[in-house]
Amino acid sequence: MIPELSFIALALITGLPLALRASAPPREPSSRVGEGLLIGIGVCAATLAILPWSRWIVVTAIVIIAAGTFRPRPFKLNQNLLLLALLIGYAIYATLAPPPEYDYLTNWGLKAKAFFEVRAIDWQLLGRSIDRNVHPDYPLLLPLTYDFIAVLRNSWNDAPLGIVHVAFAAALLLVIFERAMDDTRSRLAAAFIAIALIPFAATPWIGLAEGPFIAYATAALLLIRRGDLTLGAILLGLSASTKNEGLTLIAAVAIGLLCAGRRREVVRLWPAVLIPLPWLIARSLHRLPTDIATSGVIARIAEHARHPGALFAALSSVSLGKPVYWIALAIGIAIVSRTLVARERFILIALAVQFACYLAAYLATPFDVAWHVTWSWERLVAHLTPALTYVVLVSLTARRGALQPAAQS
Amino acid sequence: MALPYQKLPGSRELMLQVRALTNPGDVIAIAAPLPKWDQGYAYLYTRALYPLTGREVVPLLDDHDRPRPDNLARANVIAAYRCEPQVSGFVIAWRGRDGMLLRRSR
Repeated sequence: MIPELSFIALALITGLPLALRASAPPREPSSRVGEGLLIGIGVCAATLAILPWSRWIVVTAIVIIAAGTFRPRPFKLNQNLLLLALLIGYAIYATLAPPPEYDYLTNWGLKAKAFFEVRAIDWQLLGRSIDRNVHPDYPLLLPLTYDFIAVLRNSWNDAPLGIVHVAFAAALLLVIFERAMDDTRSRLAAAFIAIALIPFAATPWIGLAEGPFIAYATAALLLIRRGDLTLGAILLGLSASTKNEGLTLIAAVAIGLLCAGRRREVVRLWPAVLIPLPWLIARSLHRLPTDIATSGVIARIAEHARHPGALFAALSSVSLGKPVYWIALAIGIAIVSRTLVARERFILIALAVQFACYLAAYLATPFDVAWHVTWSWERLVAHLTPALTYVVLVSLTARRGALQPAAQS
Repeated sequence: MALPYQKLPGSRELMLQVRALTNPGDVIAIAAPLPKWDQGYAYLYTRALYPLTGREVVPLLDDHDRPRPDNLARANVIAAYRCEPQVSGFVIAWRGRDGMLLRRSR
């Protein structure tokens, strides 16, 4: 486990100073550990896109970046970090065995392992038509993260890779707690909200990009909601470097800002566009196909829209689980609907646009709709629920009394 | 790690053995007594990709259950799961409990 823990330490020492530089005041290191870890993981993965895959080269690069951005600031270990103790069970679950998921074996893990064997991004592999599940167009932040650990270890060992997912869950929980502290001004309420969101941060899909994407996307939404635009946009860009859904999320966030009357802030999302741009250019140069965009996309959308029965049938047949959660969420939304509409317009519209994009992807799918929905619907919904649940809980907390949500919109 | 392979017992061990006996760059065709893509063949083929990284793993069926002789022509190795294919130009190089490896002889 030493390479995995070293990876987390390197991510933190490089990410925390960057997060502090990019964040809005107050810039207290202990309150930015979550954002720092998320950015640091992205930086570690990015080093492999440009540097030789040698342990000492990448470690030196990370230390140089950390030293270059470091500004001495007092760092107090506070009790908020105790929240992470609640992830011990998840850490055991995540590292009990190598990731067993099909999408790990045929996509995320496959790419990481194949890249590590040639010590580079294997464009030949990506350009080859192997299996539809390989998805050569998917961004590479997660495979390169696995590779960063393999480079530190100097060998491939997938048994402890689940620790990456624990790190993402921990980072998101810390972000949620800090934002909830800001929103509710109550440590108790913030702890309650963070604990309530543990099942959403600690995803069951070990080895897949869902957990990392949810961490980046949710953290970005919560930061942008509070006006922490630069840091939020960086995390938004990293979400687009994790899954293609992050690209539509950038558009969704921009529309959310426009509809919330925050037009001037849209331009400050530029880091979100800049960060995934190199991958978009590279995949275009290498002509890596995107299945949703294969020829005839308009005809497919028209055909599926003319006969939506198959899509509705598929959506209604897939169980999302957690019935008590959905009932509670619906009741919560009903109770605070006015507050949500008045204060949370940005996040609600961003989530609604993202949801619409997911439905549009089903309309454009070149695959059997039922198959596509069956194998993705639960995970796609999981992208949106943490942020939605957060704003409902914050609004409910505000309704309870003296606490005031401080959302900008 | 055996969990994702449990519906075809021994398939993971076979692929690990095939990996040990082959080299990066080899083109490995996957043979199995599973005549339909969606009734076992895809399960075996797609799960062979991960243990056989560095090699080019090719199917002998497409997703419409049609044979892929073009892939057989390109392969220099056949990994055969619980079957003993008789393919002209290939000889058995290794035999195990759950399958065998055939190598192109000419």
